[in-house]
Amino acid sequence: MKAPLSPERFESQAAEALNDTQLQDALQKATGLFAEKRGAAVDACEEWDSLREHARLIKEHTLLHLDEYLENFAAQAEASGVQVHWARDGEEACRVIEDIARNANATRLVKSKSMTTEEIHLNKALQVAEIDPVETDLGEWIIQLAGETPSHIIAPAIHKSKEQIADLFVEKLAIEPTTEVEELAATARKSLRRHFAEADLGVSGVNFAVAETGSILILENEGNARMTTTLPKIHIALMGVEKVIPRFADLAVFLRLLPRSGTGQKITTYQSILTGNPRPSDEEGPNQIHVVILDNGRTGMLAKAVTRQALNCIRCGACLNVCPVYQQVGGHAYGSVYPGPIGAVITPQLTGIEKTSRLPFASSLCGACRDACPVGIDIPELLLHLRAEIISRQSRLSARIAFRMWAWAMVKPWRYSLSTNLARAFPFLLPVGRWKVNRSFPGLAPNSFRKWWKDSS
Amino acid sequence: MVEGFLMTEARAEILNRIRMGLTAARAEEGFCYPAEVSGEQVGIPPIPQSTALVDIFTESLESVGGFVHRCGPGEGDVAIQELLKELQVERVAHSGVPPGLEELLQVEAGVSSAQWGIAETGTIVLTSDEEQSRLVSLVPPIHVALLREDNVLPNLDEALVEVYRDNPADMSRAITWITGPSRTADIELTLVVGVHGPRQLHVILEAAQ
Ligand code: SF4
Repeated sequence: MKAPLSPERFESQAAEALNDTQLQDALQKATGLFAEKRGAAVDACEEWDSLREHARLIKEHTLLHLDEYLENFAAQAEASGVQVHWARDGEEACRVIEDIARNANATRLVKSKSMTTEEIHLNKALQVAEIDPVETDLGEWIIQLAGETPSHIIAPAIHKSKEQIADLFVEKLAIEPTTEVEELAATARKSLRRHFAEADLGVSGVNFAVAETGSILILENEGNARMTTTLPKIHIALMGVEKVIPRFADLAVFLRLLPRSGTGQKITTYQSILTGNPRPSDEEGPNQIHVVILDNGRTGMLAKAVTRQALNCIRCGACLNVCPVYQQVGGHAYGSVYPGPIGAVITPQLTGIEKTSRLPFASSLCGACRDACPVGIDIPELLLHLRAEIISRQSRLSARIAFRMWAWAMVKPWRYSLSTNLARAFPFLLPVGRWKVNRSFPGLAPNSFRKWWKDSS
Repeated sequence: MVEGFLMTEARAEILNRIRMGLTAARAEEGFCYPAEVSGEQVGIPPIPQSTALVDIFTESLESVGGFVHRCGPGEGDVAIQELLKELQVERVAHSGVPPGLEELLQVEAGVSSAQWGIAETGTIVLTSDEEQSRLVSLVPPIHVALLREDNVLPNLDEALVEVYRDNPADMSRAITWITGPSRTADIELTLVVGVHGPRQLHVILEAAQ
């Protein structure tokens, strides 16, 4: 069995990904297409820049008043019959959800796509509690059947070819072999209908939670989230604290930004705006709605402006698609639930820097992510901030000595020329060993520029 | 009892973490709320009223694979019947009479009204206060929705104003915005329609009196 993916092994996982030709094809095709569609949608939207700026301002404002808005949201939701739960960490959130299920004797659970449930490893916890979760988003369902983890925020099975998916369906569902994508999707429709019809409990994520009204919004294209939130008698929605926005009217900004950034659509096929428990006169819908508000490390990002901005993220996936590192290595190489540029900045903050210290270095700092981000997160700035923190903690003796020497050499011209002459005479002294693992080092010119200048003038 | 206690504890602790985290930032804060976030403010071009809206709606919806059929005032029901015949659909469910789940899984088409349309995106808006069944527009392979032309709004901002009631208690509990057929691109980014929801969305656009 392969070792489980881990952020500590970014380099070796990346190397493996680079050698996987099938993965390379899949990644190139997918990220290219996503980026192209996003580009077209953004170009066609004249007001893009002002929308982005508005979104950033709304987020910044909300985060600075996060306690008030969360309390408003909870109060409004509770007033309309929703049960609101708070969870300090993932474990607590899992326990809350298990308890709701247990109290209702619910064992069959359907889920719509939610990265936050991935973050808290809800499926694993539920299985331990003998509750059987079934993913219903096509991509999520595929990776659940394959026993894998998502490799992209919005297209979880992006790393798989249709042939691999067909083989998986043949093996797990005993379908006739096919590579028609339509047929594969039809298989999902058919197989999952029963699960929807029989489920006691539906678990969803939340894209936006409106403080003013207590509403939650779920955006999707397939319709599985509508099923999940309508058919089972209990609906549980899990949201990070940062999902709250102040006013209902603010949705106009975010509903325009998220689909364009994510898939290049003007709007996703379905928006479910759910406000409170169904009325007695409503014949359909759950009779219990729970919202679980999750911290799990988020509040630790609030103190500094540079880290706080990561909480602006609306999980559109645009930064992944434009990132030259993600484009090459894919999502699994990061070994964390959230991959790509945004994963590299939030994973260390959510789960601690110790085991994730490689991630902020998995970037060329080209800035493509910052340019693509619909809520104005300066990801490179944040990467540098985290790098500095990691280096200052690790504080390797060799690095300290090297930088001391560097500082000594740089302040006086004679010291500088002494050290370059030394390096020229003894090139093996240059501390570039690791640099040369994946790159060639051109070496120093035989003569210095100063000497050349002197000689030629 | 214990559970209740833990919950208040979690709530208090999270709110406290937020307040602690923000103390410094708030001290130097000069932020105020961006005054207006209406379409006008962010420079969404105004869309001309009346007939043009219907054309824009039609174009937007067709661009994502939805069908629009126009008919004269009061002709909506007849137009629906004709369409169903044309589609050779026999078993139909109506959102006003919520069918049982087993029945719903059998029918070939679901018929509903739509309370509003949004020209900007080609979206129809269905509210649970008006449509008894949320599933009729979701489970069958075909969804036919009747929309009156004078309920087509220019953009998202106005649709949000319409569905928003000053008191959240008055808002419909489930408001569904639908733009085209159900779709997925989860396998090799190949577009497939009708993965969980309808394969076809038909909007009958009935002219105002
Ligand atoms: S950081 Fe920005 S671009 Fe990346 S997923 Fe979040 S919102 Fe999208």
